[in-house]
Amino acid sequence: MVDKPSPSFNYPIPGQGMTAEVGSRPWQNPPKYTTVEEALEFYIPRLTSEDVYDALLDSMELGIPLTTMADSMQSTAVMQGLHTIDVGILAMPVIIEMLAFIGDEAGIEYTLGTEKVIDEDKISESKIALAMKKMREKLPEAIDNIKADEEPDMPMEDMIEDEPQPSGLMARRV
Amino acid sequence: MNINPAVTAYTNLNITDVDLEEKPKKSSMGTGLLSRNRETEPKEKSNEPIDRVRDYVTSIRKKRKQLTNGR
Repeated sequence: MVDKPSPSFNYPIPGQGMTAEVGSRPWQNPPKYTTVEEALEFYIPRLTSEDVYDALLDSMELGIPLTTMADSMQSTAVMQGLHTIDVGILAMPVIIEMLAFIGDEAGIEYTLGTEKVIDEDKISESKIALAMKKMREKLPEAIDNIKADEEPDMPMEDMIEDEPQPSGLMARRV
Repeated sequence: MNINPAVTAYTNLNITDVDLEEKPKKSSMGTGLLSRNRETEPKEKSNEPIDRVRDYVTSIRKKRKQLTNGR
């Protein structure tokens, strides 16, 4: 039987999208920048402006991946109605590359966020199976002994099944 | 597993090291009508937004490589 997924409360309440007038939200209106170039003309000067520049370098030094920074920047701009999501997705690689350029220029070791994280402590199922197979080939008796130790004979309990009680109108009450 | 869309957008540009290499400029000689180097038809360059974005990223990455001396 498939387990039912546990309820998640991180979703909007049904009908929440209709709690405001259509067009009252910034993202429901026509975007300010309609092309990738227009969006980049908005982003690039901001990235190199003095107030943002220092904050960017601090974030890079803290180890925040550049992809995360770019994603949050474009999501904010979408919420402000500056551009659409698709223009944001297209602009993101340029923002990431620009952030990397700024990091290189400042001599900061940053994390791009595209690297695959390999958990060295985690052993894959296939490796475990291979090791077991090799061990079985070399020491078949030892494996049998381990199995015998692991699975002791369980005494069968006498299961008393409840007999179905008659529940009709004419049934004798106990 | 949630993957950051920025990672997908960035890695799917598929910019290789070959794209970053500087192509030697052709000399002005040998571009006449009977020249072997002459291209018969000018290549049509795609002007889709994704291609323009790839060009922008490539140019910034080239500058970045120059800055870090190819590291």
